[in-house]
Amino acid sequence: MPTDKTTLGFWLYIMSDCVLFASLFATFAVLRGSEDIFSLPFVFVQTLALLISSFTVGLAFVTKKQNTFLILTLLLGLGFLGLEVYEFKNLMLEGFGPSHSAYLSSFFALVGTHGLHVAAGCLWMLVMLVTQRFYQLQRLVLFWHFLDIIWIFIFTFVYLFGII
Amino acid sequence: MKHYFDGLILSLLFTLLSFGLVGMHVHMNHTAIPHELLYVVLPLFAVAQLLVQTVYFLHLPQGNGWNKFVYGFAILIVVLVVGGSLWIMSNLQHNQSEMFIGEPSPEHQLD
Repeated sequence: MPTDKTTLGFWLYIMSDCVLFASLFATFAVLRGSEDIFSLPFVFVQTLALLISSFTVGLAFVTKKQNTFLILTLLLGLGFLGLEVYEFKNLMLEGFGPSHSAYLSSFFALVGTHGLHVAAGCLWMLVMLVTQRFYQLQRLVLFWHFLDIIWIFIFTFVYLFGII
Repeated sequence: MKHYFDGLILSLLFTLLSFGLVGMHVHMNHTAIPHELLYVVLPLFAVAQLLVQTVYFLHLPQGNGWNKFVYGFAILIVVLVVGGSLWIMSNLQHNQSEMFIGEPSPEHQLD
């Protein structure tokens, strides 16, 4: 991990974002319901997409082949987002929207906030690829790894616990 | 470069273990593995994967003291917020269910 001041500042932001997610996780844990609404293979594909993108974004930094690996990461990130939007749409069509129960409100708040972060990361990569300026790449890599770490806890405590 | 491959393999391992266990459990009509065991093992796999990604992807051990200090502080806050909320709410629920399920006390009964 680089040790310059800018990266430390960005690291402070990421860690305070952790606290935001902690409060969303706490809300979710308290309001957890028992509706059986998740599909295991679907979440597995989402998890693989995000994990592999966390790997490729790291390679973009260490191999200096920024264009190839950033495009790959961007596609995986967009794939992940596409799956999430599809899942949300299906849940709402089946009547399990955020207004169905406090449990589903907290579910959409938690997973939706994570999805918004992924969308912000995708926008960031897009801007880098269009302008061809990569001096922010180290921070993007940290941000993207952080999103995958948050996802580990989402798939464990939201999806796997929900499926058990 | 090698770091990233090791991190990916270890992360995949813990992900597959978690999903494999739950998949097997669902396949056998939710009776294969005791629920209490799953509620302990799955969070352990999640924490293991957190540690793997912290070391192999974030390279935190190579960071300076401040990076590690902030990371430790964030974990402390996360544990306090999530653990504290669950603790307080389970206490509240305990007290509340006693109040509603128990016999109404004489002073609450109307003549």
